[in-house]
Amino acid sequence: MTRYQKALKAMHNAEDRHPQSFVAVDPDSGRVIAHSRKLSGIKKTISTRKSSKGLIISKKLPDTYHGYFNLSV
Amino acid sequence: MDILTYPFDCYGAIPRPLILVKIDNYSNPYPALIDTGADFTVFPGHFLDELGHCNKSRKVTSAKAGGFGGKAHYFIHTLKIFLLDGNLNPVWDTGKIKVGFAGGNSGIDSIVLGRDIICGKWRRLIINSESNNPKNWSVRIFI
Repeated sequence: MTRYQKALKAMHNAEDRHPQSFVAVDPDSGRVIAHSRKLSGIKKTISTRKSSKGLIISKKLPDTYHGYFNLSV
Repeated sequence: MDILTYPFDCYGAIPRPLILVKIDNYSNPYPALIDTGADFTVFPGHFLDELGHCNKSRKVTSAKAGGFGGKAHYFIHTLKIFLLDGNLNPVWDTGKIKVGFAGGNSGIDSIVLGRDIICGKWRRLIINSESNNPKNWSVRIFI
């Protein structure tokens, strides 16, 4: 499993633990560094960390989520 | 021509072509959905602060867009999106491109990579879904 695949898995595990929140997760250890309903809350928490570089920040996409955006005229 | 291969994202109830990308000079990877139905690339509004952008800048224009979720206003910003290798290192970028940032409560929670990138920047996109098991599916991007 590549680092990329591990990171994706860690991200989804973190999202499942905090389905309503943004999460910041360490891609290598899978540790959830911060979770917050607002992205600004995440930023506040990780800014106190020595290094917030490389943390994956995400939020669970609902199963009903659809993309498909079109320019309107 | 280089080929980047990513696993198809099968962690939710619905398998999705979700890949990790990096934005501009920021080191954090973000998930982004590859959406061939989207005319253009869209970012959730909350990414504005995160990426240090502001809708009040003179360079920013606005547009209207619609989809299944209804209609919304978008603010057009310029940035670079990087594709990553298996070690999460950037290996390719779109160059400076215009993307939309959703305004207000658009219901968009993820970056959506639209056809401006899929058709405009990539040479080919293949979703390999030959296997009966979505866990073996993959996304191949030809750059």
